[in-house]
Amino acid sequence: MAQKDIAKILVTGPFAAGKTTLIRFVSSEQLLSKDVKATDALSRFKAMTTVGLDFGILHVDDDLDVHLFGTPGQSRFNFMWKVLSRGALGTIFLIDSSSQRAIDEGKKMYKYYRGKSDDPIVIGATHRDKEDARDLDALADELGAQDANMIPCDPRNKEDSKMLVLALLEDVMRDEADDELEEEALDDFELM
Amino acid sequence: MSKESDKKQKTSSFKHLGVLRKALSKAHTGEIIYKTEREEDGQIIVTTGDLINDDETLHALEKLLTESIANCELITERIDEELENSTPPMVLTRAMNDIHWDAETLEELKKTFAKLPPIDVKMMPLHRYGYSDGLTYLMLYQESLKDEHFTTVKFFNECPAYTTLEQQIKVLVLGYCLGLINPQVSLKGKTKGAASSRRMSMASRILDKIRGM
Repeated sequence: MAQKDIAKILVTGPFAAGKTTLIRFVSSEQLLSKDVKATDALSRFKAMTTVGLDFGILHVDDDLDVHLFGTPGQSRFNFMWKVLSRGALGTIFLIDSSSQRAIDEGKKMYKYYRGKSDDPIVIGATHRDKEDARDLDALADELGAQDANMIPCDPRNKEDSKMLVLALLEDVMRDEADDELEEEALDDFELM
Repeated sequence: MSKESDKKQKTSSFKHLGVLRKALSKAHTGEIIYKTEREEDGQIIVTTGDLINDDETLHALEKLLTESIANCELITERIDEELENSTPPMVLTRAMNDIHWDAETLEELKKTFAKLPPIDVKMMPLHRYGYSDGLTYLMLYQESLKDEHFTTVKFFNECPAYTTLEQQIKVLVLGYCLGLINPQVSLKGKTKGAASSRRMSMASRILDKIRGM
């Protein structure tokens, strides 16, 4: 029997941004997610945090599965992202836009990731309903991600979770497309 | 003159937006020269696909975008390989912030954009380049992601009531002129090589799957 193709998508970002929830919504099956009581300084912010990996599989068709890896939300686990990112289509970077602590951590993580890879990355700005939520400009400035594709979202909403994956995939396709074809197509795109 | 020809005379043409698009989405250096139906002339200098951010250019752009244009052409001195600046000209976003169309022109623009084939929308944080209504553009982008055959007609229909027709038209005009809105075929043809083709194929199938979830 022929083996299925596997596409990889990484979901990363600081703690309590919604990574586990996003993977749950876009997976056909979720295999690993070990939430334990946070014991370090993060416990003030989130009672449970993911240890190890979140992992979900989305069955696309008979020949293709997507593996979704959620990396732990602490920068000391950055090394896992480096290993996991090999051959990935791209990365979804979630960040709690209302938490200074998450933004500080996110800045370190984002800098690390951008230094290691040019693959597409989409930033999902979460917790938009909180009073302290930064506007997108300020958040991009603080993260050092001014030119990134940043989308406000609530991963608890399935449509928002899907939106982030769709945005990443569009970026992947745009990266892979032949620019010449785009130019040809432009010529036939006139307002009549 | 017959009623039909009266009607034809009143139907606006927006081909000048295509001229602006051509000048900005490729690295043209030259001039956009136009004449309004009130016989006023205008010119906009283009340098490697970019515009000068000054009041003269602003006023010329505002006139081009709001008046009935009788004739408009791009006189190209040269075309470079790459754009001078891959970000939108600030003078264009400034102009878009300020201009207004009357109800009749808005309807004409709506009809004109509704004729476009299915589109792809490229994400651009327009608010970072001076455009005040980045949220409506984000809405356009998000709606386009959901639908494999997304059209401007669907955008008009799906937009919530709190966005005005003018807000919707402005992001379409801006996206069109900046080359952020393209025919859908542009992403699904030839790729850069075998590896690209494989990634493209996978991404395309996953897109279809997730849209259907």
